Amino acid sequence: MNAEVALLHNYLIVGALLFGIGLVGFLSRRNLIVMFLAVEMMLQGVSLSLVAWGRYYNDFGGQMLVLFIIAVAACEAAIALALIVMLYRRRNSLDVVLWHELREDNQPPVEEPPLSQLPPEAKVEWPRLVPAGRQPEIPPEETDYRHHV
Amino acid sequence: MSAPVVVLAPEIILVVVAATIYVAGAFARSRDVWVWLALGGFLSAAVAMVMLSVGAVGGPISVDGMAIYVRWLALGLGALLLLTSSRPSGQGSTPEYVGSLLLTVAGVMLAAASRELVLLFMGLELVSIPTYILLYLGRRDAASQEAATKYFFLSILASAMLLYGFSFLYGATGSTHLAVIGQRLASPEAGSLWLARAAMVLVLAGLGFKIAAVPFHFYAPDVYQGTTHANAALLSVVPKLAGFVALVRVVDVALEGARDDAWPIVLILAVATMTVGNAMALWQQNLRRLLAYSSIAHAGYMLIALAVSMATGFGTTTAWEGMAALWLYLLVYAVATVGTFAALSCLGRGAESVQSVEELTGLPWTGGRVRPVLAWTIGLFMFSLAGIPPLAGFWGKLAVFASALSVEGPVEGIRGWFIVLAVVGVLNAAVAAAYYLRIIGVMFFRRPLGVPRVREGTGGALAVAIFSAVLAVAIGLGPGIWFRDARRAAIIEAEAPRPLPMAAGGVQTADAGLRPGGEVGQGVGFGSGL
Amino acid sequence: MQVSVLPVFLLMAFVAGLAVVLILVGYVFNPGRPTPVKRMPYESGMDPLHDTRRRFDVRYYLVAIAFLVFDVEILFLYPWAVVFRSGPAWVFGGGMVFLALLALGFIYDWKKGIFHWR
Repeated sequence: MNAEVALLHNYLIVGALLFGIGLVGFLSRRNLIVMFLAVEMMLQGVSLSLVAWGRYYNDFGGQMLVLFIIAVAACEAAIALALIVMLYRRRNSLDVVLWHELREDNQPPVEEPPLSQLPPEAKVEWPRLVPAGRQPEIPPEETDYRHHV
Repeated sequence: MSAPVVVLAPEIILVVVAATIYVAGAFARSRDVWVWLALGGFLSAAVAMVMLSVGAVGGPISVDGMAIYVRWLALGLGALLLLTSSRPSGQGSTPEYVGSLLLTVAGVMLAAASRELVLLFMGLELVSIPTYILLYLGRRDAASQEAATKYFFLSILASAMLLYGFSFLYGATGSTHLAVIGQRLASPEAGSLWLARAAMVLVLAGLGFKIAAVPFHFYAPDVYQGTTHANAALLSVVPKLAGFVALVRVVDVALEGARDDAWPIVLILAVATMTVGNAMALWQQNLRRLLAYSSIAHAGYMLIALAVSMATGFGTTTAWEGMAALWLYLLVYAVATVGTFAALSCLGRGAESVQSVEELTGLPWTGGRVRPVLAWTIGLFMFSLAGIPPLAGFWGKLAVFASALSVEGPVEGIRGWFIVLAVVGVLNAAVAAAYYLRIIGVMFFRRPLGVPRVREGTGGALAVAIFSAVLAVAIGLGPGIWFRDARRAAIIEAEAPRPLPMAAGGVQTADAGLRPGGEVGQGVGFGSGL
Repeated sequence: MQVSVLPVFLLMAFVAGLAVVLILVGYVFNPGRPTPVKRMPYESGMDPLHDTRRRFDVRYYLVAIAFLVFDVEILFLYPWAVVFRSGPAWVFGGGMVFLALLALGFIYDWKKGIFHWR
């Protein structure tokens, strides 16, 4: 096994791992955004494998496909963001389990225990940065103006 | 040899019209103009299709018999779907709806003409991405949003799998050109054969989603139920068309070397798809849900034809017949399904369209002029989908089962498997008749319970229903020319391409770019040198 | 492999010179009507002084989506930039058509009002 093949193997293994982790993430997570990110991770795994093969064969086709994958992934990300914002507005949650209106007639909805909630904001003692520098003196009409910008 | 721009003129026209509609729609407020403009786009694309001289194109584009057939089918179905959805209920988003519809049709046509992984992927995504928008625009209630979300997430998962399959194909052969892949896999080494097998499984999974084959069908009933009739019509034909054309190009032709592993998988998929689809459809009350399971079952019948053409090997007569059966079946299925959804979309209660089978009770006897017409067309489509002779659906089923029975493959015992497959298919068709006839029974043999209203502005959908009914009868009475066209669609260009002028130019440029001090090298070369 | 790195230095010099020129132009030609808001450090339209864990306005996401798409489409210009001078003429035309389509998308976004803050 020469160095070129070893290199190819390493990249393919990382690509397969990314794909597999993404697949497991998609199947096991309930947050819509995390699910989408998991699929993006699968696509990155695919892209990595394609680039590795392309380098192995010294061929540009794989890289070309990767360029198109990235562009398509961006389009899908745009649609996903729009869709997720819309869903969030209706249910006030990103939990995918809440969406079970469509199912077989006699099938009970899947009831999952709610996701563990973070404790309310007030109780969390995050470290806070001290505002630095001098607070600019802003006349009230300026701040009013800024509310309307 | 003609330039890609000339060969892809229909797709380009569609995309240009779609872009015009999007942008102009942002400026002008109108509704009907966009539908007419889109119809004009379809017409000019059709004119461009006629004007095109079919010649060897070479490179990533192939205008073989299959591409021509699928492109015509996509254009025709696109026009029908446009008229069906001429009254999308999303207020003020008609230009977006119409433009996205044009783009999906352009995507199917591009996928049909491409025999190169990059172009094929772009074609399939050009089908998927506007479909997400269409699903979102269809209605604005929670069920519709849930449907759009389910379709979107499962669809991107399926494309990721498909792409991973593509990466294995590329890895096995070092080329993205399907004909070259097929050539190199014809006498594969052991290592690349395993890569090809992995590629085949992943591609089947990814495309199985598009055609709603059984382990990947779970989205279909939910999404159809949640969205509008017009969107359900689109989902039941357009992704199937793109999925099957991609399956034929990738699995059937390019993966010829892994044939012995491929056909049993497709055979099992076919059996599972028909059986599950038909069994689940028996219990459904919701019309769109029922038709979703029906469309799953029909994907199963089409997979029989695909398995036939795979098992007997590319280029044999039986494979030819199997492929022809696939395309004939897709045509008759699409006509009946689009017609059914178009007819259903004319009926409603209040603002809602009809939902359950019971709402059709006694439809022909509820008076009015339109309702009896709708009832008779729906009845006709049900007969056609059930495969009752003299209608179109009968010939589709006949072609599929006949091709399965004529298999005498190179492998020992293959004939027995396909006889079993044909028997299972016929049994399934008999079971399927039960739920199609139930709809007819509910419509014709029960007293009307209430009168569903004929919705306003559904003239286009009514025209589509009547046209499809006429077409279903015409195909049923004169199947000869349709068989002939389907046989022509089974002509697939599979030989490796001649070296391309463009590809050669590209390689030269890359070399020039690497050479320091060359004319291009000044601007570009130092990046690679550093 | 002998490679001329002169273009790199030319580029650096050009960038430095352009920066100086731009600052000078701004200094010389600005009308000089400062307001406190204008004099605040620039922070992409937000107050520069506030808590770090503040929610972003949802309107940022619209711009972000548009930016994402346009940003990634630029990707296609790299391979095009490598080949267009030595390829046949339609390669250049193809890139221009691509840019024109992007411009159409931009006009669509503009007209739909996603660049309006409210």
